[in-house]
Amino acid sequence: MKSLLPSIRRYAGPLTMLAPVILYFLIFHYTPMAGLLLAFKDYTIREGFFGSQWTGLDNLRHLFFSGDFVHVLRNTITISLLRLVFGFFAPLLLALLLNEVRAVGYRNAIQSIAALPNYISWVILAGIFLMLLSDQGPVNDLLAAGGFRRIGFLTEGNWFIATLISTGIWQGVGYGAIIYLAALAGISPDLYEAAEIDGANRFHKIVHINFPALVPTIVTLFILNLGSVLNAGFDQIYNMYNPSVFDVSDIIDTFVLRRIQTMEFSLGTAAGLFKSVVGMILIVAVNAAARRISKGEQGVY
Amino acid sequence: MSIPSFRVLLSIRAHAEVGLICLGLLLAGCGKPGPEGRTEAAQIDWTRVSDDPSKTLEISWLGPLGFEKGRPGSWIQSRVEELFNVKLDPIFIDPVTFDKVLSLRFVAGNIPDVFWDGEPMRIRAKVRHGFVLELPYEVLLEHAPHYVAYVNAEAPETWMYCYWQGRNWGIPTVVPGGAIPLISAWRADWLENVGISKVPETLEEYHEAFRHFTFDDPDRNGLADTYGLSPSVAHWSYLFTEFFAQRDILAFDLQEVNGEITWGGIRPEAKEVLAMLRDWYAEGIIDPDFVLGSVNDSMLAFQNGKVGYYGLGTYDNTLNAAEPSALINRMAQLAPGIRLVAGPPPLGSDGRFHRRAWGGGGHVMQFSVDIDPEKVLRVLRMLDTIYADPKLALELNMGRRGLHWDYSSEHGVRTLEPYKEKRAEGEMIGSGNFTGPSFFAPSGLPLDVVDTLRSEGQREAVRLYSQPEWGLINSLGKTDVLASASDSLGDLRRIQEKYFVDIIRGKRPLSDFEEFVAEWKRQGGERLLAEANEFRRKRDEVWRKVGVVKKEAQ
Repeated sequence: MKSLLPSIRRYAGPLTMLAPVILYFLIFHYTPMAGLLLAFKDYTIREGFFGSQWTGLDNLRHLFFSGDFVHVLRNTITISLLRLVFGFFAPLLLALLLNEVRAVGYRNAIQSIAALPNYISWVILAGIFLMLLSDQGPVNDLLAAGGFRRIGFLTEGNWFIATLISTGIWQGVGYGAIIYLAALAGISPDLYEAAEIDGANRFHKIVHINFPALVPTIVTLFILNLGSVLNAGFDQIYNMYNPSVFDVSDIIDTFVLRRIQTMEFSLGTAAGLFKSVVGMILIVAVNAAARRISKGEQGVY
Repeated sequence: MSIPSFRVLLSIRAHAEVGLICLGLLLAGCGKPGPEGRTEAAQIDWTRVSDDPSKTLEISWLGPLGFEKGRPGSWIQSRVEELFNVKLDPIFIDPVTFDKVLSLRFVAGNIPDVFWDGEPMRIRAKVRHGFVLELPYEVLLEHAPHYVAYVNAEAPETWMYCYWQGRNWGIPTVVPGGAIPLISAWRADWLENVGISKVPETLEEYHEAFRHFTFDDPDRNGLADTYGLSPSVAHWSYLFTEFFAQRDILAFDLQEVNGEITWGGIRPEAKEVLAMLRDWYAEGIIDPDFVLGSVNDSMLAFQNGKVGYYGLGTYDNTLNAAEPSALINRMAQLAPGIRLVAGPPPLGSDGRFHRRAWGGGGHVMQFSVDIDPEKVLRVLRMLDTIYADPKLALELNMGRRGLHWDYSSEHGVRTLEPYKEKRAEGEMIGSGNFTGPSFFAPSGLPLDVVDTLRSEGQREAVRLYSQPEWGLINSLGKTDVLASASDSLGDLRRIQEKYFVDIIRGKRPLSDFEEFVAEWKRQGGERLLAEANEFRRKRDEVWRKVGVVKKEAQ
């Protein structure tokens, strides 16, 4: 305590400024965690937090053993991993490419346009894609006019997944690129000048300067992304799926939704808890792995 | 309700709870854990409760959905207040946010004296969470015998919507108009263009018309851009129901067969219907995009001239030219040459017409657990008085004849100025659709009263094309009354939609129907049916208590 007090006094200004943020997290993120108790109770509002009966693992058991949970879990992980594999590097690529564009006005325009879909709700985007990609929609009309077979983008399992992933990438790529562009902007011009003196061309500079400079950002984002691997994108799937692709697109969130349409708070909490625990295990494990591989230089913490 | 909003709800709840935790710890009390701590709803000794009619009672009143633009102080409200010496505080909630707003209100402890719900699952949830007052059958029989008789006559299955663990938790309402099945609407100009002079009536005639609509350019635009039919997958109750009903099947409902409750969709006849639809799909007469359909797509396909048949409308909202918002008038505005004609459902192989109907069951009125019991008696007296007197029921449903509306045999009911606009009507009078409930008179009018309000055209359409007697109705009213439905019904419908759609579209062999039946049973269907048959015994018990005279099994 002795050593702490002087430093608190010394940093009083910054600490005061930090206080609202800490309060925010305490009030809106840590305090509600107490609500996780509901996952182990048969919660009814009248009986309240304490009065409600303990049910142990009943809610989790109920979640896992009612219906075809394994199937749903597999769908969730499949969609998430595909999103990660194909979607993770798309913003990186866009950022590297945009960074090479010399005309500032043009670059800003592209960047803004690419980031725009991120602000449009999936309710609207799904409506647009359902119209464009339906069996009798304009895209298939074009294919048919060109002599190709009509493709069930929305009605055949594998095509539907491909549609989900690609439209998901399209929606998020511009926004995701912003963080990489910020990192790229921070690279010292000295490095480029030195490279030019050594005779490096643009490609060399990308490979040897830009990319290495982005590695910490990439690792951080990758670890954070893994944490949400059980979130396969409820908004998008719920708005785009239909009976012919239930097999491949029924995810944890849609599964839980069917069970909590009545005020089943405990079950909803149990599902949320399960997703968070898996996410946390992944973050901790991957972070440890990243630190080990990079000998302590990389990782979120 | 979506998952995100649930999270919001949870976190809001959690904040409030944590405050209580801190307080609780400070007071070193810590609640009452364990089973003995469960709060039993306070038992009311109803024999000691009495209602003094001369005392004005204030009642907060959350009426049925669909009145979100309503305003306090409407004509019907004033009339009810004057008749029964009450002061009503009506609560109007937008249907889009109904669930969310209502949950938050309840969670915050702000429970209206009277509230409504139509979903047995949600009704049970409210009971379980301790919001609802128990209402013994004896109390209902004593204080509202006429009303009980009305429910018994029109839709006795509704009693089970508010049944939970052997007890009664509300007052069922009935909407007798719900027993009228949907009607088939055809493009008369298309039928004429392809040389069909008689409105299709048999399955063969339906098929014939669909074929011509698909291949003979019925709209004469020179393009092959039309189909026979474009059904909807947006809701299970829309999915080819008229063709399943033709074989006496309710594909997504409980049905009684030979004294045993079973699921329509797993019966062998369902497979035969699927085989037929599969052939139709292969033939190309079903719009391939039907599988993507949202709620309105089926109607839009008809309105926009993609198909020439629409099977999901009622006479009033589709074909009644006297109704400004009816589809027939909207389509005439889009393309003046359009003509529509009504038709019966495809004739069953037994020589009779069948079509799915919802039945006369309405929503359930419930009372807050905190309500003053004399208010309950007052509401019971209200109901009993209103539904013992058809004239009064009519007035409190639609307003006063000559002031708010008038009748002619040519046009049926017409609202008068300044209540002409449907919305304004609801706002100013407190009324809705005249066959359905109004905000303060919770049940619909009996069919014979409704019939006297119909125009000749309406009467004719109902008589020829959508008789209540044709209706096939879920044998328990709603499958959701079963407790295990909360768990499995969503999944079961999902599985069934998937198999049915795949089989119809030729993505699976027809023989996968047996696989479907097995999976349906395994995923909770077997349990559901066992519960349904057990539940029927409980229902009969309740029916005995309230005096329902059992009709012939459907």
